[in-house]
Amino acid sequence: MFFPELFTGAVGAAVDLTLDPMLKYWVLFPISIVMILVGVCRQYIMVLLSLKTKTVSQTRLTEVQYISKAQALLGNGSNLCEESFKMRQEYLANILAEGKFLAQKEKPETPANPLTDPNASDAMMGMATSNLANYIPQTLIMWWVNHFFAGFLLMKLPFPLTIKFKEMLQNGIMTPDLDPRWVSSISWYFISTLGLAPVNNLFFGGSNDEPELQAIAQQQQQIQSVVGGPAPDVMMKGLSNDLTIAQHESCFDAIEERVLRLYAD
Amino acid sequence: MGSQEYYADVKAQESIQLNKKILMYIQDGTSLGFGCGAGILQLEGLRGFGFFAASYLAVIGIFVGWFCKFKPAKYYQSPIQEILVDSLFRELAGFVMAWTFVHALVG
Repeated sequence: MFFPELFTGAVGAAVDLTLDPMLKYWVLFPISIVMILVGVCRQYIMVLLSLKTKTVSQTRLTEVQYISKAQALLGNGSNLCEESFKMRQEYLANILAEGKFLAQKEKPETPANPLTDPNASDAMMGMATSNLANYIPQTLIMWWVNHFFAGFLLMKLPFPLTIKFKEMLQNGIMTPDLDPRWVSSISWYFISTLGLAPVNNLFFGGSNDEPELQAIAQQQQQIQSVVGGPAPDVMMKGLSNDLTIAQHESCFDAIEERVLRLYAD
Repeated sequence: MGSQEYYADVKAQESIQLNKKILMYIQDGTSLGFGCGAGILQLEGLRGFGFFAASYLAVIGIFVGWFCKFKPAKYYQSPIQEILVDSLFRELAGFVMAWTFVHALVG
């Protein structure tokens, strides 16, 4: 009983179907165009959402910048000569140990509640909106495709698929023996969600303001204190200790040799 | 001397980013183009994926020869990873999309 059924299935798969040629123009093109346009809209909405400038008090900014200054000295100190490194090291270690530029001199007694703190809730809102901006269009398009273009086959894929894909890609078509290569419109939606990244990069990726935006975002992230992260005074103390014990080695030592080797060939 | 070698190994991250961006642009364009080509030729099954592999490797070969003058280590931090592996699945997805699209339009 089992084998004959399988056999007819194989025969059914070999049958070639003829599709209405107008399907290409009335289903394939609209879905593709809508997906590209939604991608563009999402890009611009993300830009609009991320361009919110936040005001930060000057003392807080000074504090953050002195912390990052110490980190920069620790990271890139080898680019300075001995004398200038010593000077900066001494100065920064003193200042940070004193806590001269701390924004809040005395500690608040209870740790701030992240749910009531306006800055933290802003950050959470930002995350939530960016997530929603990803999910809402996807769900909407999927619903749209499933609702308006359901119940017929759209095209034949040029590569074979296993039988497992039948349920997903031939959704709503009541032919148990049809080759899974014949697929309905939802599969074109899946393929184009996967493959649209190169298209978007090619047509809309030439913008030069990306690095600037990233720099702004990074700066803002630095300023917003991480909830549950180390307090700034603890960070300053730690950096001060690190600075006092930092060993200096200049990159100018034996630089002649290295430059000569670099241009030797 | 470890630190001396470290100092000699100066790399500009901005330039590496720019190089990656240029490479990605080229790979995106060529994989979509070759996908359209595979659709027009009505390739099916493994022949289509073979076409993708051949075109992908050929584009990388031409890129390394023409843009990098056969010295990819000069322009990328880890050449094999960045040139060959990183964008493989992205380009494969783009290729498959263009391929199925044109295959359905032409066929």
